[in-house]
Amino acid sequence: MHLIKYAVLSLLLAVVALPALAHHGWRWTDSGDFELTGVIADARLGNPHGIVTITANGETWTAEVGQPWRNERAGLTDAMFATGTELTILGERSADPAQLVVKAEAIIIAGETYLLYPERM
Amino acid sequence: MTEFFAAIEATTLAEYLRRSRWVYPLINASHILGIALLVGTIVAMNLRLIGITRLSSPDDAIILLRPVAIAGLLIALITGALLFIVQATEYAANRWFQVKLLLIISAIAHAMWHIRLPPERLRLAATVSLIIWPAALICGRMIAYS
Repeated sequence: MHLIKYAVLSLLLAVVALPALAHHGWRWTDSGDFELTGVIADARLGNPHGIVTITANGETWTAEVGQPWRNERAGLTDAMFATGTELTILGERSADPAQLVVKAEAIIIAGETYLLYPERM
Repeated sequence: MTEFFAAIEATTLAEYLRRSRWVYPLINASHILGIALLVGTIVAMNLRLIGITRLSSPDDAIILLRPVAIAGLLIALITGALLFIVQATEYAANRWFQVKLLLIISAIAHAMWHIRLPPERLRLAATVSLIIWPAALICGRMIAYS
């Protein structure tokens, strides 16, 4: 009886104790300023996350851009993320230097700056 | 198979969900609500069946909690299907998602297998259920981190 009780309790604790891994929000980024200029290799826009793959200095980077409403508010359209487009991402990179991941706060395309998070700039 | 998932992703409904500002997050929230109702009642019911909690009779616990669990399951299944079609190819190839689906199918089959048994014969089944459903929940959450 006691064994089952402890098994159940430890299972519940294991669920609670699962490490909070990086994903949403800004907790997983390094809170610095980061700039990445490169060429779009692939774009997957829309919910749950807009993901743009960028080739820069021979490295392949993943940039998290806004949800559709945020991109629209900034003045960005899906067509602007066409493969081969050169762009600069201003944002925060992953706190883990081994991860080539950046979350965009603003995007510069053809000299024009589009603010995804005006309140963070 | 990949073409099938790509076709699902290309449907008007999937495209709408990918672009929506409020509907997608609301479906996401409803999925969590379904899981909360399902796993919450499963845990309460199984703790009673195992005998860890003693309030109410096991029969009453089943009468009270099982309909809520089934409702939660239905909500989770419907909203889960809607979330799936938005990125069908990615989810279908995701190992956590595959394990999660297997666990859910096993858990449903296991529940249906035992649904007509009297409470006194459900102690082992309740313990198994208490492991499979939370395991499916964990695999589900891990999809976003793989």
